[in-house]
Amino acid sequence: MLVFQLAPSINSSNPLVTILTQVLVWVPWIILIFWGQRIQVSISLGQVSRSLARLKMLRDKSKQVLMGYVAAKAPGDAATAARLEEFLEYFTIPPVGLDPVGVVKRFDHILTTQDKRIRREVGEAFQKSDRIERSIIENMVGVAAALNQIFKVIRHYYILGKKGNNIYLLAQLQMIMPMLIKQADALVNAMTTLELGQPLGDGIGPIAVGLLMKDKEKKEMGEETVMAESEYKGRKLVLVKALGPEGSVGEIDDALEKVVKKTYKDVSSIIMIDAALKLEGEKTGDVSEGVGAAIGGYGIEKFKIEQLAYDKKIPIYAIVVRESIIEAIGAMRKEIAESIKQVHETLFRVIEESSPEGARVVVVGVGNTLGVGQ
Amino acid sequence: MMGSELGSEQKQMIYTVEHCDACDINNKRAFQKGDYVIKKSGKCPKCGAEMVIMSIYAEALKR
Ligand SMILES: [Zn+2]
Repeated sequence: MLVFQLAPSINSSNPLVTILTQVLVWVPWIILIFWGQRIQVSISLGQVSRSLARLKMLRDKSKQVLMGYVAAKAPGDAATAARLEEFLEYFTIPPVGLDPVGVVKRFDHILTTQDKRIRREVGEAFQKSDRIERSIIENMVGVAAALNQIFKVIRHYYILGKKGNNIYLLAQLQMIMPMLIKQADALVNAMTTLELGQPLGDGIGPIAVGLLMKDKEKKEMGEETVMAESEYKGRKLVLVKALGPEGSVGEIDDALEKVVKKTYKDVSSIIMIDAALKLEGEKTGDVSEGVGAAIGGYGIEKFKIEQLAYDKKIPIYAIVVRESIIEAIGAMRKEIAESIKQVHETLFRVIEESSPEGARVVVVGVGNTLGVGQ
Repeated sequence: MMGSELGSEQKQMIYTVEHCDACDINNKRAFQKGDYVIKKSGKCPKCGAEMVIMSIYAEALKR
């Protein structure tokens, strides 16, 4: 607007300058009025396509890391590499929710089938590898498939937006891109963490329980879980976690059911320790307590544990360590590792407050137990 | 905005912390492949007892 005021005063005596000034002001004005949105679309397109190229690069990198690991474990096996690449396109169809009765059971069945399928495939292809390496491959396939899916969905909307010159679609993509790229970055970094078998941020629950199991007699319960008995101030503790140090979350729900229904019939409370998403502004590694089933995923395990607790009228207490999604899928950070002491203090306080002496308390460490033994 | 996140632009170092119950000392060293939490990781330099890995974590390198 400054130009409007300045224009007459610059050199009003020279008509050529006046005309030139007017042209300089009005031509862009008219262009913006008629083609403003077009220009906006092409700017958005450019930005989104740059981000998309980065997503593609990250997807390719994850594939590369996977193939590198596979090549090291099964050298010269082109068929296996090709088969794993096919697995990146593997899909799972969730059950129909039109008749919600029993939907969780059906979902559970489908997911179990999927897990078994991938596990069998990996098991057959890598017969010489131990179960830790196999679990690492399974986890890597999962991460690479997630990145592949993110890339493909974003590409889909990008092409739709481009075809229809749809500024609103492109603007939405532009808005979510920075967050998506951050998560994709974290996923790619997680590939290296997986490859080396380091604990993930999500592994804080298994570490908390695993440390309590140290020096105790351990019993494998099937479903990739392990159990140990302990004692605290007269309370009988039953410790449960996924079997480590392979990358697995274990079938905690089935293990709990076994413990509560078969092994012991006198369980008086269940305490679950897990990593939980923090809100922006909350400190990483903060420990808080509450009630309810602290377990992520699709909600199947959560449903089964809640049902079990309800049937048996057992209270469920939760202790969580706050972290962002990026911290949960990446290598465990110092702040999270250092929260262990506070987790144990909280755990023992909850046990004392909630259960009398002689009571039996089940303590479950929820999360991926990669790089965490027992 | 996301300064606290360990993005790819921020290099990190992985450490393993071993603990000796007998002398109650911690030994922090660089992570080696094969390390995992609650693994017996060798002899204590002071008393020769078995050391156990108590924690493995990532720390941002200061620039
Ligand atoms: Zn010692």
